[in-house]
Amino acid sequence: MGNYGNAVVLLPLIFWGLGGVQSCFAQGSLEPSGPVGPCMKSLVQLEPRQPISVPAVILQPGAYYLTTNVFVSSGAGIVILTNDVWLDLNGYTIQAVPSLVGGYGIRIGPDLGNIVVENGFIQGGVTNDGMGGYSGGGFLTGVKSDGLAQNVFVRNLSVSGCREDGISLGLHHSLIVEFCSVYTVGRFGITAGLVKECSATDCGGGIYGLRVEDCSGVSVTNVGVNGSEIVNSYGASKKGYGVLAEMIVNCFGQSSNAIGVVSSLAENSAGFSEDAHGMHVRYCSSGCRGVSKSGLGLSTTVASTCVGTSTNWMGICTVVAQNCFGFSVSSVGLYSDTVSFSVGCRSNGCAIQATVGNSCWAMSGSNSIVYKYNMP
Amino acid sequence: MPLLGPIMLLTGTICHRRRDCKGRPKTLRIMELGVMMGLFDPRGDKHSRHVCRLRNRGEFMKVCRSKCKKNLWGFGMAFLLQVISVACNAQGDLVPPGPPGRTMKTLDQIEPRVPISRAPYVITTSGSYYLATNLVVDSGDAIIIEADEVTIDLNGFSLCSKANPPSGYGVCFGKPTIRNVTIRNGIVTGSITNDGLGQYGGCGFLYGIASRWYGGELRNVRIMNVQVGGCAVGGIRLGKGSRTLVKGGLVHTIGGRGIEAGIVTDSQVMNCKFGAINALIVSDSVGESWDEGAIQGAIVMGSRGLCRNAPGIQATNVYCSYGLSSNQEGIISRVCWSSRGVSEGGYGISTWVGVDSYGRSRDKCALSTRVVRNGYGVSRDGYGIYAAVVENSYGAATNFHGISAEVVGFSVGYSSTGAAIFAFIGNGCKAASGTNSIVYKYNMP
Repeated sequence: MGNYGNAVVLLPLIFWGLGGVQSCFAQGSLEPSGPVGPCMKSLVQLEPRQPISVPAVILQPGAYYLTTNVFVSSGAGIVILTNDVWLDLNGYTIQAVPSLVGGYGIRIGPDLGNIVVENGFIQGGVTNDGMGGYSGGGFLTGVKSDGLAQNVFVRNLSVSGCREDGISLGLHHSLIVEFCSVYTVGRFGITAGLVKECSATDCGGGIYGLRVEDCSGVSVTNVGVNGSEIVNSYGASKKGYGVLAEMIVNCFGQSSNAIGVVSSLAENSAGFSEDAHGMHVRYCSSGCRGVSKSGLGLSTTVASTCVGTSTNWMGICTVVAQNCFGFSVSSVGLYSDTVSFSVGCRSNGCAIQATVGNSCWAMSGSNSIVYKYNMP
Repeated sequence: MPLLGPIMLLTGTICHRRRDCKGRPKTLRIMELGVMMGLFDPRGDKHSRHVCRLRNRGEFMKVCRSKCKKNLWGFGMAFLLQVISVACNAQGDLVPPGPPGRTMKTLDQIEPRVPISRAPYVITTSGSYYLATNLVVDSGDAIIIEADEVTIDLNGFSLCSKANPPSGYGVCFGKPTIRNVTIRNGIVTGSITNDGLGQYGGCGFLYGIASRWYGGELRNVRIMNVQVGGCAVGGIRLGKGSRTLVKGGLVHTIGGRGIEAGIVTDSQVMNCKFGAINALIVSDSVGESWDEGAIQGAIVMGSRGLCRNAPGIQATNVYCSYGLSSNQEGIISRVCWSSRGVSEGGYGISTWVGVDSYGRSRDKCALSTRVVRNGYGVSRDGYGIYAAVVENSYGAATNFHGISAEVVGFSVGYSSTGAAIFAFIGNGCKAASGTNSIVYKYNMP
């Protein structure tokens, strides 16, 4: 027993010690210690988003925000390489250092989706010599999306001074740019599926989208506004088309050296050019007006309720014209195969030249119509 | 690591039972397990074969007695187990993997923007600013921007002026050329009022948001969700270029122009002395002014302009819009579609191309155009419709011709005292009231 006497004494101590070991797995009592009292918000609760500094690579989904103006000396300012990212520039600027030639303000990796970029500025130092020559340091592209991105939304952003594009997302309907402005970029100001309430000024090419609404694009060498469907927009260019589209509604395009408006279908739109056609509508134009000094006022296949005016060429040149008015100073007012309910005007010249005319009238000059019906 | 202790205990128990621990007290077995686990060595640290030695209980206890006089060993072992307990609670390596990094956000990270809590406030550095309270000035400007790349979030607060006579700007662009500025979410206000006759007076700012350098160049300036009211000379004046945008602007009671910008959308400008909205593109907006045209632009869509002494809407393209004027044209445009122009003393609509449109006037022509289709014009003393070509339309006048045109097709005229339709060529037409005066008639009586 003597040998075990001490062991008997030690047993409680050992179990006490083992009790300590056991307590580390019990995780405490499940009973609440008391009623829940008032809680304070933590700083993380106040701003749960992740602050980022530049250069940054975003690899995890989440909400991120900029906390200061940042300068980029090489590569990209922010690279997004994952889906489901909300990036708030928070009113700050991603700026290229003067020595930077290339790189991106924000670059979105290939085949990503559900990305929002908003509220800030991307600034480079590229300038335009006024003739379409862009030079100086700056990003290649302000916001660039690689590959087949989807559900990308860029809004409330300004981009300027880039060597190539301002905002370039690609042509898919889920790529949206809204309420953004771009100026002085060497190529397209904005490229996206839907471009809405944006302006691109002093760009190599203005705005290029599948659908463009309430936008203004001003270009030096390329198209002012280019898209599939363009609504309520203004495009202007020195050397390129003012507006180029498949379908336009309520648009105005003007150009110095090229056609003011080029479209397949046009409704309630106007085009102006000095050296080329005012409007060239491939198929049908309705409620349109084209004006040119040296080219055709309105060139189209089917014209309904349109007006064309030209100084040196035909006011309207079409295949079928109805309810139209063509005016020319030195050429034919209205030229068409078939024309009905229309009026031509050319002082001391041919007001309307057509094969078949129905209920037409020469306001000034005389008509040259082979087959006349319902008219004198 | 938290599971290491139990695993070791379990493993030790199994291994020990496979040997020769049958019949021994459990207490002793546990003690032996402690030795097996290497948690303690009752004989010191010189012998590594202690497990074998412990097979002999007598020897074990002898060692215990020799090493732990007066049961100190037991206390030591218990203490050691408590240390193990603590180690289990730590549940990780005690050696840090590296220097501690930042784990908490700083207040600057929570709100990195610069607060503006006094006026006048001059911004000379690019950055993001926000209003921290309502600001009132007795004279002069409230906020002056003298840097590029500036964002001001008015944060729902207001900039107010009590200047008498009116002076200064709510937000002033202080350089001739400024680029990349955004102002949003707030109010700029004064106490200018209208006496109901178009005379504005009171105290406040001269301009709500404007450049001090008229004719200067603002680029990439965007204003959104800002309310401006009670200013003596102008509401939001950004210039007529295409590089400025206003969205969600609410401007009222301005002794001059309301909004002047490149693109204006979703805005409302009321009770302005001169032009309410002057922009390249106007969409989904309302303008109301006394003089100079309520809405002026290249392209107008889905908008409404009301003016007393000047045109309601004056633009190149007008689409789905409504223009109203007391003394001049309701709408002046080059092309007009699905729109309505109403005037008392001027034309209802004056355009080159009119489609699906309605004009109404008391004293002058209701719908004046080069070509019109699906048009409707009603006038008391002027033409209902005056055009070169009219098709599928209706023109009515009380004291003048219903429709006057070179060519009229498939249309109806109405006149009480003049010709229902006055034209050179009529085809498929009818006089609803009065008689037609058509030189060449076809397909009609």
